[in-house]
Amino acid sequence: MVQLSSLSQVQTEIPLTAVIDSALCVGAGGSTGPWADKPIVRLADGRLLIPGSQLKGRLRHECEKLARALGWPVCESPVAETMCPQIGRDNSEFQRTAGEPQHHCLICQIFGNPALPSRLIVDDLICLENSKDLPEVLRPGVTINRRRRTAEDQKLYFLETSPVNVQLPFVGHLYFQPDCPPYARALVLAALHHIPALGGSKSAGLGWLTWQIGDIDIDQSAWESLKVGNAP
Amino acid sequence: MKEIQLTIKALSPLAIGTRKPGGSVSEAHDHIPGSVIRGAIAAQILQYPDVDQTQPGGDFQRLFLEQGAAIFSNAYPSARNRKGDILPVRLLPATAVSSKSNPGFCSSQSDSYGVFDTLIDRFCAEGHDHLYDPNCPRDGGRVEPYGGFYTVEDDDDGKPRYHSQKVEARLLTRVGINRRRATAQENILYGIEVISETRKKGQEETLFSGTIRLEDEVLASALTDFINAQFQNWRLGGSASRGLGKVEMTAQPQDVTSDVEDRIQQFNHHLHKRWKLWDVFGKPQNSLLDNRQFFTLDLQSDAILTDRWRRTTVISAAMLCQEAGVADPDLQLHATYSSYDYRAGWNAAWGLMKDMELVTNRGAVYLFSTPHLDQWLPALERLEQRGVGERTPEGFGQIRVCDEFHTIFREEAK
Repeated sequence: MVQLSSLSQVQTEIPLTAVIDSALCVGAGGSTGPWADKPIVRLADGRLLIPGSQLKGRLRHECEKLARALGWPVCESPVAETMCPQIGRDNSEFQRTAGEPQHHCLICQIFGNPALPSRLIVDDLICLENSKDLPEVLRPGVTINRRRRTAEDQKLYFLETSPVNVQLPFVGHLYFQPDCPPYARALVLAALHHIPALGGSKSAGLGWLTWQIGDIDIDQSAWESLKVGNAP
Repeated sequence: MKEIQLTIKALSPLAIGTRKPGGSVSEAHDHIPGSVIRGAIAAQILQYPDVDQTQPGGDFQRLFLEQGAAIFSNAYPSARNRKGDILPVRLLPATAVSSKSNPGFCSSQSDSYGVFDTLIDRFCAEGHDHLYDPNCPRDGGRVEPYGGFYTVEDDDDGKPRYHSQKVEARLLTRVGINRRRATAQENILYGIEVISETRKKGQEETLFSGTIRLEDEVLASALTDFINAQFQNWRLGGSASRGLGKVEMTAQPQDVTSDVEDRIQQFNHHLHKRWKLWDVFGKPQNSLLDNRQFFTLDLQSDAILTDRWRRTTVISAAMLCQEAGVADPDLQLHATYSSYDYRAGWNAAWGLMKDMELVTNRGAVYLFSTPHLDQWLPALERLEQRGVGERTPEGFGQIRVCDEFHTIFREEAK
């Protein structure tokens, strides 16, 4: 029986700030903006942002790496046919018996899949600086012909980036739903430390950042529970 | 009956998609359907670990499952007045028209030629055996049906000013990343049309206004407290776990007051006045107004109407009598202005798609008359509060009796 007045607030909220050390280049096809080949994504009022979908995807990637290293069976995202519960039904390793028996891997129980809602909610990380105060930065680039060592025909391009070396803060939150498993916060926190850069052209020096993570109180048993994945 | 006034402010883009049969592109709604708000509140309640769903009864059952469940109306785009209060949003009826070349409400900022209603004039013209072909009052040009949402606010001179309210939409592009190659995954490039979180290049916030109606006063108070306790934790629509759909939702309880009788009287007053005006072209042999009172039903949201197990877009006299529980053999349907569309949806509790429904579009107008209006007044008040047709708790079939806009005539186009 559900009584609204007796429901207690148990959603965990972690403030998160990404301070961009270099310059950020998060673009998307179909974005409107300047005439750059890869314009930066913005909110409707022009403020810069790191989309929640990118941060969540990257967090999932890092969590999958950690879980696999700990010996947990993990499905293959992002293709629905190779994700839980399609592949977990015939594999006893994918079965979870905490509460109701389920057939979702460790990662899907946090990040969800086409059959299970996500228990982690990721905000867009939004730059609080007014876009009018930020200069428009276009970074030209040209592809070099490997044989002639000169500029390749038709390969001059322009990237739009955030201003360089101004320590722009991008602010948002991570929310863990009340039914989120206890190991989720520990795994996500560990994954955050494996993300040194976001966006495009990371190998060319763009998007490198420093995380400022709010206080998280993680129980020691949550760390312990991650260790039982049969890692060699 | 108690009503909870919901004010919803978009904090991030809203992916409130509408998928139509045969299409692969999901367009964004221009409002937040009641079913989306209902689903979000139900999902939020069920997420609590101390919720025991095995026991029957309780607030959840009374809100969502019982016969007299709460009615979640659609939330339509609105704006704040100069005091900061949210303005009541209204819907233009299907009979409203505006200039084809300069459509829109008259205002000092635009050169629009105004919007007016044609229902009463068309009824009078046809009653006098004349053809009715309205034109623009400003330039005599062509007019077209003009729909959408509007708010009314008094300006400095105390005159009511009509403002069209609409949301802005944009297309977001997303791509899935192949984990092995760290490049774009095949077949996972997709676009989502979303409602923008601000309007007019960030100068105005995107606001929606809706209601929840329920019989139990104590339950209304508990639901209001529950919504307000986590006013910034609400997510509506798709892709909610990855940045989209974040809203600030606040609730304000209020009593439901009905002025149906006043509106019907005003409507009939204007109808009689207009009928006499048309008499200059010659009085008809049989006056349609003799001993009869008229009223309209204006659909404020899409409706799912069924007549003898078959879908329909017309509320016939027999259907209305059955729906309202009134036996009136003299009830007559004079005019119908309606169109249809299809609606699907997703039921999170089932984990399945809802059935594809043929719906009658919002804004539809039905003109009825009866010599026994007295017995209809309580029934019409009840219909305004509960709605007509199927799935009314999800916001379908909301109606307004004798909408005030029917009394805006051509020469006083707003």
